[in-house]
Amino acid sequence: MTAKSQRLFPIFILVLLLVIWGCIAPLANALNIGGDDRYELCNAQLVERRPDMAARLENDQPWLHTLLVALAFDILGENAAIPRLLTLILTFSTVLACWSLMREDVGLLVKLLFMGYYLTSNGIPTLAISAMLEPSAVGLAVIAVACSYSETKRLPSWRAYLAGVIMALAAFTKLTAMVVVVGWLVLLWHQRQTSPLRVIAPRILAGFVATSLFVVAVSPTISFQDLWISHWTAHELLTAKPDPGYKFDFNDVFVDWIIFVPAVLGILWQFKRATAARSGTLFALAWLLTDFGVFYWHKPWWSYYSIHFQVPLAMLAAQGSGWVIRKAWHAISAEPHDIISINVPGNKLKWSINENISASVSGIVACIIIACWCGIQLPYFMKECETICSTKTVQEDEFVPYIRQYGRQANWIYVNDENIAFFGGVLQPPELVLRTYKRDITGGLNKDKIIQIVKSYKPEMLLLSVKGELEDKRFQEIINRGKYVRVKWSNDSELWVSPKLHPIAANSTIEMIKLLGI
Amino acid sequence: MINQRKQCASFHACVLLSDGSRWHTVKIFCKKPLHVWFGAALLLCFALAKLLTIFARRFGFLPHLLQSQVSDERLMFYAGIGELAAVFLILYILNVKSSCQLIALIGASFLIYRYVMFDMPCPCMGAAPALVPWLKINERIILLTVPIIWLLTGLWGWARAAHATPKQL
Repeated sequence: MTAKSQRLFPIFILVLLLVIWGCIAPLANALNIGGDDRYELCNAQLVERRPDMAARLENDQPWLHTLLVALAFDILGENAAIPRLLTLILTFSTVLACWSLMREDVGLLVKLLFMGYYLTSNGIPTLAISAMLEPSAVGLAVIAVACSYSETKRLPSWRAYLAGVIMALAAFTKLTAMVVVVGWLVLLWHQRQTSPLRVIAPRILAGFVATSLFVVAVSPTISFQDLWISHWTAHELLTAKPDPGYKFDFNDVFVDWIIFVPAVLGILWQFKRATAARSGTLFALAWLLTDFGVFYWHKPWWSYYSIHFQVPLAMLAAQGSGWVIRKAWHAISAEPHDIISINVPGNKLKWSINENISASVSGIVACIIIACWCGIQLPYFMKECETICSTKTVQEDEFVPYIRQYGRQANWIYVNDENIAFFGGVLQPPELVLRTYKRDITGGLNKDKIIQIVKSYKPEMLLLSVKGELEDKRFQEIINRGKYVRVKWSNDSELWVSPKLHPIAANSTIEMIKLLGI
Repeated sequence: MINQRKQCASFHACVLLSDGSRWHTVKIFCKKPLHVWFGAALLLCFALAKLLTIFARRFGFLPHLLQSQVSDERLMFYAGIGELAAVFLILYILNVKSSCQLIALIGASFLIYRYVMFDMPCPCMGAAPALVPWLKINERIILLTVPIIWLLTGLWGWARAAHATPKQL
């Protein structure tokens, strides 16, 4: 294989995987993929249709991603595939960026190992196709770091500016992307011989500040209260009154011990090497340690934060596995130079010693690593892919067609499942789009406030859960006062429509029984 | 000269007959490479799990286990004996190359068996999964990973043995 084809082959594989993944996954139709998929879709829909109401969203995240998706919705139409595809592309770009960070150590083997480890990590297949901020922010942050990395020659000034711009985009996608900064500084310090910090740091900073100012200028709201204080309040509340469900969970991070064990090998390899430490490994280690520091302390912990651990772990694991597999491969291909002939007097035998323990151990470890990945990691990955492919789609949902039918004349809908509102094409009252756990524990949104908002917006449609809202007398009062008509019901939910939309009432259970003649 | 062998930290030796025509792997305990031992040890675990299960049931040590939980006894017995024989062949009869070929063959056939009959009850680990919950939970994973380990170790060892064997002496 020539050097050029060695470079292009993994990129070809990566693009092929991206296309396959994009084609197989139900990007446009799945109701909900990943944890917070629903928030971003509804946010962007509201910003696109009613930009004047964006300030009412009570968004505690930066606006960049929402604004970009809203813009795309405006140009291409409201399609859930747009933000999901963006995440997918950024996830695959993360792989490319990491390859470039591991440049000197990377052969074809390590590149493929990294791709295999990262893309099959627990939760990554789901996160990669969900309209969520975390994978996009991490992807952009790693791209920024890769952009500023040039160990062998001087970093061109445009790349330093670009790195700052991309890092600002990452930070204004989600602030957790800034966790990468410690690793980034280590990397910049490590390449100080070729690109002095005093030269590139101001350029990076300039790019960062300029982009930040631009994003701040175009954002509907931006406040320290939303971006920091609200998170800090939730953190303090959970610190004062710990909730075990929202504490840092080692199981989320180390569920992939198949990756963790080779990652330890990767660290050992780094220490074993006589040459100076490589930038990619140093960056991964520094990032990993920062992650532990930040996320062990930070509350609440969400399982999707483990993506911050999975990227550096996959980098280290690829290097560790690559080292062992290469050693095992060399043990096969190397000439038996260590044969020693020994004359044994008496029986005239010649002894030849052609094996050694370390070669055998490397062979065994390499086989175990590959076997465990194929036998454990791959089936889990396939299972996750199956789960994604079998996610409930819009076509399978019984309420979406009714919401679409009546929604043409409706302004607002109240729903117990945000994504149904997005796919139904009707907006929710902005204050109710982000019904997050954080708002719940900080008292930002409670049942009284929800009722108050519903009363003030007077939504033409109400999708209520049988065991939730419908058991609440206040909701029943809203239904009675508004003379809402039930147009569709299931065991879990009921759709009520205002008389303004001329609804046709659904049959009750008794009427259904009578109709069926039972 | 024998001391020189020890100094080389080797544990696999080949012996040259006085006529110089052939190499034979020395078939003594300490002369097999570690990867062959590793493959054989894994196989021995499976053989012992089956044979000890039958032994224990015969002597009434596992009364709480239902018949269905230990699969077909006869099948388990023959499989256990077969595996024990394979271990014996690998460690005492065959040379390194053939041992590795046999390990790879066992791995490949086990893998095909697992893929073709994945949902069928497997007597592979005897009553061990019923006794050790961890084995029960990870049964499928173990029964998929172990044959891959055998297959890869066998192939790697085979390639290494084939490459390391001098063409002529």
